[in-house]
Amino acid sequence: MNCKKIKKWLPLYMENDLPTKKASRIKSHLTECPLCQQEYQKYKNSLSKTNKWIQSETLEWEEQEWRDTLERAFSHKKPKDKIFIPLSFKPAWTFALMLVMAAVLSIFVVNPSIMKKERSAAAASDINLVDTQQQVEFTLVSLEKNIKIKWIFNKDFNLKEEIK
Amino acid sequence: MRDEAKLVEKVLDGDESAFEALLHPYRKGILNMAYQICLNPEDARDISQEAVVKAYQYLNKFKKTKRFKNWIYTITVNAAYDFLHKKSSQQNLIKEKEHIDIDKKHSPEKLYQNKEIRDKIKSCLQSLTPKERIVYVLRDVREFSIKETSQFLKISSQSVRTHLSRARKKIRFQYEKLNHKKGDAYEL
Repeated sequence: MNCKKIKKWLPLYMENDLPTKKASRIKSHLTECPLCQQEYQKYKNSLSKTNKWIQSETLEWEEQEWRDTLERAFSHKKPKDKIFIPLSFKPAWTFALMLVMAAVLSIFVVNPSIMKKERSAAAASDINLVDTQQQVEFTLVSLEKNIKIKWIFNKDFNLKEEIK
Repeated sequence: MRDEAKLVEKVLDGDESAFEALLHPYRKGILNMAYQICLNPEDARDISQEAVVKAYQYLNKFKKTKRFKNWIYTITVNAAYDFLHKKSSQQNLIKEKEHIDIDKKHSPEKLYQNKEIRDKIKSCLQSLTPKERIVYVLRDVREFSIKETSQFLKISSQSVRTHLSRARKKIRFQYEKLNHKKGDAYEL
């Protein structure tokens, strides 16, 4: 390691903030190079004195001030249990929930006959009811281009697409 | 740590006195951390008050498996960072107003000494960016590890090292500049 590199790493070497291997190389260089050793001492002196000054700068809470701060905190909205965190704090979950709700609603808005079919199928027999729940259909209609796309998901979530 | 988890539960159940008991061991630490970062008593008090209010408001987000000490100091550091960032964007960081801590317990000599020390520190720290200042105070003054500092600031350890290296270089430069300016008669 040359002197230029040593100077680059000296600020972090001061408080053992370098990996052991690099630190030991710097240490051995410092024993051989008086200029870098001098640089190291300058860093040590300036940093240790600045640190001591700042550490000597302290403040104390006055009792009344501390009470006022606590009162200010208590006057704000009280913390609640995690269960009651509004969904707005979790944008990903809110988005996912909205997507699912929109998908479910779209089934009935686009094709309201599904509900009727389910009802009539349920009335016909229990076996038919199971059959109607084997798949979910989404129908997307473009009035401009007069295209109707039907997505059918079976119970294994395999997609079947029908374009009319 | 278990006691702290119990106190957190009590606060969440509406016990306000538990909040005071929870913060009591750290109240001095919060104030001094804010003060050592901004070096202005009035600003330090504002930052600390903000940190206490936020701690109460967001206590429901505290994970009981984590250390409360780190959580409350993270809030303080973030409040200090927001404050410094706002101040530096207003270009007031360097030209800070003169503040003397009015305390009747201190003699005029003591107040003068305090002011002198504060001026010296300010000269050394005024060239640092808000992040460099915070990283330097956390690592060198408060003696937290690189890992803890990175957790407080939510940045990588490598980023902490980069800011720390720059901060130490600048402090050394400012320190020598100050010494050179004042001559041998003013050994710091």
